[in-house]
Amino acid sequence: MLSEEARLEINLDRGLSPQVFGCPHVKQLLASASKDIAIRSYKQACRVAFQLRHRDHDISAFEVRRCRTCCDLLTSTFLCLQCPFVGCRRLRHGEAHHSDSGHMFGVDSRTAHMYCFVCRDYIFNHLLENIRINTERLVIKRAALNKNGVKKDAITKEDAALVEMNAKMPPCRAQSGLRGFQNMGATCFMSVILQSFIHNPIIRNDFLCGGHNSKTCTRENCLSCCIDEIFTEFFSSPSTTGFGPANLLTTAWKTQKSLAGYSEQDAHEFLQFVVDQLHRTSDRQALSQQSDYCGCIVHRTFCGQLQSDIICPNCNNVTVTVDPLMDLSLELRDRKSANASRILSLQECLEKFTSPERLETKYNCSFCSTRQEVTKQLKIKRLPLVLSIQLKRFEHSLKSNKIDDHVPFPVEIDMTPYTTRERSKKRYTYELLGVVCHQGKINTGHYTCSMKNREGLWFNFDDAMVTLSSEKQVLASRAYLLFYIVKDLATSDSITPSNGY
Amino acid sequence: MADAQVRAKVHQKLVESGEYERISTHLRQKLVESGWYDQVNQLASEKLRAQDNPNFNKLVDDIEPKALDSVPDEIKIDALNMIKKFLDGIVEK
Repeated sequence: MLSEEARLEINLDRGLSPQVFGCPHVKQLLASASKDIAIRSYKQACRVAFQLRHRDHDISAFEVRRCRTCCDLLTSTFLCLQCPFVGCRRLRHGEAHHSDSGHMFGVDSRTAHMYCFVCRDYIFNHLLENIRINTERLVIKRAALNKNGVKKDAITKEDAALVEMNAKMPPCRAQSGLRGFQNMGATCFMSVILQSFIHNPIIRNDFLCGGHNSKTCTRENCLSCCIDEIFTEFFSSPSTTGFGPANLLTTAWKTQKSLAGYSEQDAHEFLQFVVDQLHRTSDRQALSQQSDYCGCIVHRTFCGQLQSDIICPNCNNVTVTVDPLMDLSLELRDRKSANASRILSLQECLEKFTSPERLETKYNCSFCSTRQEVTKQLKIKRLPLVLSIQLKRFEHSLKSNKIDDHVPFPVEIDMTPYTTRERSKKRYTYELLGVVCHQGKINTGHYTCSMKNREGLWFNFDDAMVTLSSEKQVLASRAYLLFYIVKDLATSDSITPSNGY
Repeated sequence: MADAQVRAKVHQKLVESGEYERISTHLRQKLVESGWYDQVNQLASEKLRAQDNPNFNKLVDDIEPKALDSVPDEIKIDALNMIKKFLDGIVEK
């Protein structure tokens, strides 16, 4: 709590708010002769805190942050800035040390945040925060280097200066990338897919870091250039009016004639179209057809592998085929079950997709040379960074029918049971990134989507209208397409389910 | 062996065997999946916005009891079982 005196000081201090200097005590420390020592000590404390994250079986990493008074190994503690003492928070041993010694500052031994025992609060100071962030980066980099031993290209001081001189910070509002698309004639099927890319951190980061250089690109009808333009526009302009993606539309129409015209199309088909085009117009695609790995952004984001096992019931020979997997299309009902009309949950759909199926047509087994009704089983061999799932709501049988029922889906899903490593101890967890919904009948309908932004907030996109939504609303929506992203993308220890990207 | 010594030894074994990390991760995941984490997060945001001079300790005093209380029983039991299982493996009766 700030005293009247402290408040007055703040107002007098060049009109700066306390956020700038944290608290009067740390301000005083950093203005004193002890500034350099304090900073050195803080850097060291940060290193201790961050190293713990990478050595969680290493008892010594725990010992170094153990409370010196009660010797508890597991409780959260503060590292004293001015002496080797470490005191816990819960039993106030850190506070007791402050009373005894007069030492005012502690560093959180898990997150490295600075704590002031006088203010009894964590404090934010720009200088210290920069040190904290940089030390974290350094520790992560060192930990990664130890694994690969590969050094990255260093950026020279001249390069950094050049960039800084010629760059302009985008306005605050632009940095969220939140903007709607103008509906230019039943184009909502396009805008939802575009929004799903704009708020996909892997795709976003790649385009914003110059993944496709549209200035030097010489391709005709280059979709990558159009998408790059949209990213530039959305992340540098503070405008909130709906963007009319004229270039993208023209390019799309020229590339695939069926997209031209004003009829509503299927969003999933458009997704496949965009993925295919971004691959073709990428500068980083695989050089040969035989190559297993493609470096283009869409493959790096969405491409996994699906394994198909064909088992002969006679000789038990298993024929294994592995194919690339760009998305999963899931049936919503189990026609072979007792309750064939029941709508399954997402997990049940995945279970059905990966369970063994007796094929009705007979095949010749090359191993035992008999004709058998084989069993086929699909399993995911390699999971992509972003899982793209289509719920097959549209039945194009005798009468085109849409399944409009709600399909329950979770905010977090463990994909391990659907992979070839189902018994693995390591869990492959994914978290929900976005949902595309379709309202209305099969040919006349409207698409909207919901995406989670970098702060974990959900936003609803309905053509030019962007509104704040909530996880609850999203989970209640009738999903058509789902996007799940691998959970621990950042190496940070933060347990927020919506990791800031 | 004195209580404090036993406790210290148990903690040590917990960390060294990797079990602490396993139980922590499992517990964390369950808390997130059940929506508890988001609930507490929201409560904390509300309380902070209501405070004139936001203070960490005040916030903890405000919400810790409610947060601990609202952890679903099944999660508490699940975690306790994991700990019990670990203890059964290392402590002589």
